[in-house]
Amino acid sequence: MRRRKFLKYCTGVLGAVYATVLAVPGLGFLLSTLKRGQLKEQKYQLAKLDDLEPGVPQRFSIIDQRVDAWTKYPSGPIGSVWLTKAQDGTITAFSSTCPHLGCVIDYVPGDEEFFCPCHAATFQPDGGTVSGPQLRGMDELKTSLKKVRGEQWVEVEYQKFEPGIAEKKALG
Amino acid sequence: MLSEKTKQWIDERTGYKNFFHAIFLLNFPTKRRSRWQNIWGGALVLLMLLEIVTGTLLMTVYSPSEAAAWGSVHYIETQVDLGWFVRGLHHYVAHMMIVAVIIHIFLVIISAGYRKPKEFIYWTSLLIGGVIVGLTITGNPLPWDQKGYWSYQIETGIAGTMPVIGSSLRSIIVGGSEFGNLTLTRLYTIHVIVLPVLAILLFTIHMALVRRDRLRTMKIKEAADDPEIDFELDDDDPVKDEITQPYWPYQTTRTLVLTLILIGIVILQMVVYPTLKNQHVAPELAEWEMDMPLSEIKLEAPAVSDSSIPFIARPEWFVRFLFELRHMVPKELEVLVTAVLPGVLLAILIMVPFYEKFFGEKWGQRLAIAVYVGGLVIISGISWYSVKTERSAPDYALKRSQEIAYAARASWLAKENGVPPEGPASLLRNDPKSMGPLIFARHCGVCHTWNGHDGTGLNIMEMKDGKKVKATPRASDLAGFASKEWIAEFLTDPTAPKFFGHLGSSKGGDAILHGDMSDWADSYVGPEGVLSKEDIEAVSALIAREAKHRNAEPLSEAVMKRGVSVFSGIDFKDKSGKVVDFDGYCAQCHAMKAGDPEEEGGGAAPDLNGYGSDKWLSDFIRNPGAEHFYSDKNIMPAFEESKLSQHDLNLLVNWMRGEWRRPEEEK
Repeated sequence: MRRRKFLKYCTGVLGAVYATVLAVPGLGFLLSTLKRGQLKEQKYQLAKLDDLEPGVPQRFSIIDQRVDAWTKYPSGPIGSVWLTKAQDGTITAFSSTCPHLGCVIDYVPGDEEFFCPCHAATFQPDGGTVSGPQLRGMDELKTSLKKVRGEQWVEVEYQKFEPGIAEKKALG
Repeated sequence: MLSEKTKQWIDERTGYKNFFHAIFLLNFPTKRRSRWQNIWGGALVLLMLLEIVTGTLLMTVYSPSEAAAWGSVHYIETQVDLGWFVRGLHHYVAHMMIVAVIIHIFLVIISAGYRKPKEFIYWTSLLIGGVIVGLTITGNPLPWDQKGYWSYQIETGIAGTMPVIGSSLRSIIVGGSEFGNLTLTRLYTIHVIVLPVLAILLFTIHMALVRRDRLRTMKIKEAADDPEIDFELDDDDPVKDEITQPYWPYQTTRTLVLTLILIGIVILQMVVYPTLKNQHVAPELAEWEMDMPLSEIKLEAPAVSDSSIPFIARPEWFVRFLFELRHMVPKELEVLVTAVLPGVLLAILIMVPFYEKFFGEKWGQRLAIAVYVGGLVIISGISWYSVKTERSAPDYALKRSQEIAYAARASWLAKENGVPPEGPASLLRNDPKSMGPLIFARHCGVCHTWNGHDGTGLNIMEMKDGKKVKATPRASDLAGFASKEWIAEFLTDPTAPKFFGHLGSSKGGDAILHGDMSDWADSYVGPEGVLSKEDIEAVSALIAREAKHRNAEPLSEAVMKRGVSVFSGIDFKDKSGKVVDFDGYCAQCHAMKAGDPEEEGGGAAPDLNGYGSDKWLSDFIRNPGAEHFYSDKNIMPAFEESKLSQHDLNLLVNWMRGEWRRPEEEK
């Protein structure tokens, strides 16, 4: 009986070693996707300041190379941004990704409202919530002006944020 | 752990206790003396389980398509945490399983495990072995690297030579007549669904049969031990030797010990082998700078289907003997070897239970052992011979180095640039360092050399008196073309073998070999000549500046001035430093703005404006007989678009100029 107990103990230990050899690399393998995600925020020159019509939001595509796991795609649209120039010339930029669940937000010129068609989230022109299921207003992006060959260009720091939560938290 | 009450509750509804008892705790008979012998089957089950787990993990990243397969495996190796470990385990354990199957079947034969009534147990284990080999063959090409791709070409080619069904079978497996996306999706389906399901089915049948046999033996033993039953066993009955024990924990411990030893060997191999496997590589032979250390190369180069990147297909070790036998038999018998022989070998193994019918138990078993061991020895011998002949071939180290260099290059490019959407092969196809030597060897190597070889490191060969000998080049050696050193060497002795020396053998070449440039060198260079070594170096540096080479250093004012004075003849100072008239100045024949402020010269000899630059080289290769190049003295064929595409020309020119991305640029 003592021998039987010893062997049981051995089986337990050896079985644990076997399981560890599988489990450790297995977990490492699966969890390594947690690190993946948003690249560092980057500045994009989107439009000339003078070309923007005051008070009317305009949508601009963000064009960049995209790396998806092992594939590197040539430049193409990776997202879009709503730019508004106020009457006094100040610029505001909103990510067009809806903070509710990530659909693309439209602008309704007649109502002067931003509107997400997926779940009827409606936003004021300044990004604040009007109605709908979203927990926060539109995600504002940092803007700056840069002089390129004598002309003022609007630069936007494009970023993606986690959808569905009240807090504005960068992805990744 | 669960409380007794909960266990009871579950058991009443599932009967799990009986189930586990029936599998692990029933008192099964085991041979008293061979408890360590019967554990290979159990170890194979645990290794298979490991393959299923690691395989499932790999499936979460791997992508079976031509454009993505290599990239996804490269991603597993380099980006996924412990990805190299999971993939290595999956790969090497598969090979270890083949070894384990070979040992398991051997042990079954020596313990007469095929004897009545266990024939079907034996046959199912043979079939499981076959499925394991099938899994290895279908798993190997999945990364779609050169190695897997070309060995799968051979394997499906062999399937295609089978009589009657061959070609249809091949196109079903391959998904058409050509390799492509369908080949990979089919491979993947066979590898992850068809064969594993088959293996599990066979295993279930196998275990049911084993259980039936054990229960039967147990009943016999119980009857023999029971004094109330009038039944005695013969003294020589093998059942007499057996004792009854539950599988758990007696056999499980031993099985786990063996399994862990096998896994340990595999891990050792994973850690040590990558550095050993490249021991035949000698990059210096061909002047390849490897883009990463040998130990970091985890994957062969991506498959290049048009074979523009050379690779020698080698079969997996366990089919190597078939590959070698093909070379040993006459061509007409090849089908016998490749398609019929494996079937015959399988038949010999399947027939083992019937040997005893004809030769008696003792001699039947001896024959079975002799056939099995003898077969293994012969197969190993042939495989060993095959590997040895290949390794001792004169070009083996060189060619293997080349393959590894491409593997390193592709891995490095993938790491730096990512894999383009059109697939990993384009990493190499659009890379000057990879394609340049091959284009040079194909188009230029007929006449020119590169450091004495054809650009790839191989010597250019020609037939002479029925023997293959190193060919005599017909034109100049172009390694270092248009560099300062190359020009200086040329100016010192244009008729050297490295430059115009061999031109005399070509039609019209004599006019260049003994032309004005040679006369010039005879008159002005050398101890009697008016030009000093510094003069040659200065003018060489001045001309080399035109190429705008990537590593070119800016010229000092003094060198520049001296170069210009040699080129234009203005303010030329002789060796004693006195200003003299110099009638051997370059601008008499060659045009070059930088060397000739008055721009009066040129016309009679090649234009040196932009000499060695992208544009100059491209224009020259397209039309060397143009007015501003060799004009009517030209003997080099023109490489028009039809002979050399613009894409290839750019790669060639960039390679000749050393323009490609390098690891050190990052620093």
